[in-house]
Amino acid sequence: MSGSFFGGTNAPEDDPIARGRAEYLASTVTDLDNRLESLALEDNLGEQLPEDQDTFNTETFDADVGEITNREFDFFQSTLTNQAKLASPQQHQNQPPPQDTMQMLQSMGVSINHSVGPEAGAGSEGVDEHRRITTLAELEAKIISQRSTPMSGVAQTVHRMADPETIARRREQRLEREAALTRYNNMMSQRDKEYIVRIQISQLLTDDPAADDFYCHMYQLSRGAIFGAMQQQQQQQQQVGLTSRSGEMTEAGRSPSVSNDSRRGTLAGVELQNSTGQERRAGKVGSPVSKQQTGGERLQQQQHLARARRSNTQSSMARMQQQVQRIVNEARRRPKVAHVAAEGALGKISVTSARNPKQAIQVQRSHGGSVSQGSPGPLTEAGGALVGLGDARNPTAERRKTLRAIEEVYTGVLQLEQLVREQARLPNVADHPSVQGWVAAYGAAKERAWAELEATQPILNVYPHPLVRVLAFAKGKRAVGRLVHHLSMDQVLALTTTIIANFESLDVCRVGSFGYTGAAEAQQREETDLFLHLVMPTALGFLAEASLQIVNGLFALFMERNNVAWVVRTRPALVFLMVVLGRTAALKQQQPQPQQSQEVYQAAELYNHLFNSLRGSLAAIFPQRPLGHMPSPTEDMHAWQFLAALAASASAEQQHALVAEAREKVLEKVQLAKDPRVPAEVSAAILVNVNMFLNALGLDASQVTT
Amino acid sequence: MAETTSSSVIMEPLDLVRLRLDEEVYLKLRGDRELCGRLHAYDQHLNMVLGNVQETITIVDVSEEGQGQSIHTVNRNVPMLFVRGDGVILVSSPPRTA
Repeated sequence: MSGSFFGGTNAPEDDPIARGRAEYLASTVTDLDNRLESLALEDNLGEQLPEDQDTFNTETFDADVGEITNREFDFFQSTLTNQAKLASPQQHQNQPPPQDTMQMLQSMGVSINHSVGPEAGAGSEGVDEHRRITTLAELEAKIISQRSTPMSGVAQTVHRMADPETIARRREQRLEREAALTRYNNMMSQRDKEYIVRIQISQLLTDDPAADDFYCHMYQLSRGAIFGAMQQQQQQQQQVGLTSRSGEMTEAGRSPSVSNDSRRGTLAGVELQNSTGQERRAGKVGSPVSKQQTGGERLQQQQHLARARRSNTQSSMARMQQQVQRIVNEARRRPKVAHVAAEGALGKISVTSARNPKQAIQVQRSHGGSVSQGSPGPLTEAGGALVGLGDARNPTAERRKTLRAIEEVYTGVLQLEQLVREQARLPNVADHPSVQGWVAAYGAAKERAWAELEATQPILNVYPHPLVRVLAFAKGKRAVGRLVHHLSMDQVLALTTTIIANFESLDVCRVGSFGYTGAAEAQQREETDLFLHLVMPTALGFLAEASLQIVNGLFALFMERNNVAWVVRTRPALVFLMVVLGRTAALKQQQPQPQQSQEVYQAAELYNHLFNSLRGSLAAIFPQRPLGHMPSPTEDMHAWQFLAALAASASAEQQHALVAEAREKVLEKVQLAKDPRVPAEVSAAILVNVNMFLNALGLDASQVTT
Repeated sequence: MAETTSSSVIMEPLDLVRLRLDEEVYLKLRGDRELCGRLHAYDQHLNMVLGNVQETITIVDVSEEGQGQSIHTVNRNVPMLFVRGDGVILVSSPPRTA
């Protein structure tokens, strides 16, 4: 009853005898790993051994590695099995379910003959023994099948996992798939393969992977593969940098990116993708070899299996990585030249590649001249004429000029961002020429973008201000939003000043931004949101850090240049005022001598001025909602917040005035919140908003009696 | 002085397409097709990526014996579209429909 006598658990036969045998054997400890294999790897598409481990195939008839290494390989049985496999595929389909012993015996008798038939040359003695043995095993199988029949259908489905039939069947399928895949193996030697891969990779080498694979990088980042993509970026930068740092590939760095499905585009990633299928297979087959376990909990085994599999994948990835690295370094050592001139030959041979395509057209481009000689000027002349008219006399030219300015800003922003990305690669020494070059390039790009905005002159005789015109476009708002990250504090101050000085003329502040309806309203709302999210935060962030003097100055500017009562109906203005008031209040408290400071006095003055100009028109800051429209809780959040800020700095008399004006609105809101038709969350949100204002006065919504 | 700095970009025809990035454009294509959509990207071949596109195909039904031709159009909307550059005839701003 030793394992080798029965042979390995090769491809299970189609007869119950072998199945029973398989099951019996499967119950022994040494076969636990095979069972687990089938359990855990049921749906895997063929596993291939990695090349260096696959030395058995020629002698062992595609036997599974596990059974070869676990025990002494039984050549006889495997021959038997393989021939049987070839001869009897049809029996597998026609087998009857074993319902009673007699029938089983009959079918087994039949199958025995069939399986014995083809291998006439196997030796009669061995065959007889085979028959006797299988009878024993057949009894076992009968017992097992009897045990299994009383189970219910559901339990049977559950039990299907451990069912010897299924295991045997799956094993057979797996082995077949494996055989199909490995049938034509070993056509190329390892050296051949490396040669081809080297050629392919060398074609893909880029000097600037960040720029060439830019969109893929960004896509990976935005998809959330941030960690992996960062690691890849770092690794690529390491690649591109000094070759002495080339050996630093870490497995840990690769594995998060390996597990992502968006695994493409980067230099190493392309190669990985090409070979991933193979690697994945190699990784999975590696596990049966790697685990030489003798027992233990099934769960532990499975976990270990999974871990081993994963680490195999990782290690094979790492090996691939190292190979790529080697090739990259080699290619870098000898730079590819676009033209090759052999010694003694006349002329150059140009090497065409992706970076150096064959030129189809000759295009002359010089700054002084133009494409066609006959008309040196029409384009530039027209451009000059259009450029000269910088005001509303020529609206289309105006628009084009603004669009061009936006594109200039974008060019600058893109350059700045690229430079920031490259910054990580620079050496740390400040005097290094490349660092200085970088600094110069950074400054130049910034100046280029900054100049277009003309924010250094807040007040111009051109209406509207160029900055305002830039901000009128959605892409202008976005460009400015991205540019501010690179600006110095002075520049941000200038930007904020310009915006404030021209607040009225901003497109988001145009005639009652609450007054639009339909599609225009949606667009206006979108633009306002963009503005609030992209442009305002920097300006407001700046305000939050500024001294009282600056805040006062900006506040005064705002009130001086803009018609406050009118502009306060717009959301951006409300937000701005709210921040100013909040900041003023906070700063006032921080002051050592609150009553005597000049700035505090000024702030109070400004506040009173604001209050007086708003008096009587406070109800207008609330958005007008068309009748019958369901109230959304956040639509007047800004208004309430502003009122709260206003109330916080108000004197007692001013507070009375505030309450008097806002009373009606408050009552309306509270009533609305108590209305049974309004859903609970909405009314809760409404109450929260109203409470913002009331709490600033020291009141609460619950105190309001309707 | 501001004008001279902003005209430092040499305007060649493709730069005009650049100005229309992220704006609604109107394309006329080969095969009697027109596209109206938001331009997201383009390149030197005028391959374009458009968003929120409305495509209009003009079909001329020629009845027998030249009895008369009827023209009708087919519209369809596509949220995101890549257009190969060699089919593009012209790029313009969308016609103002009141």
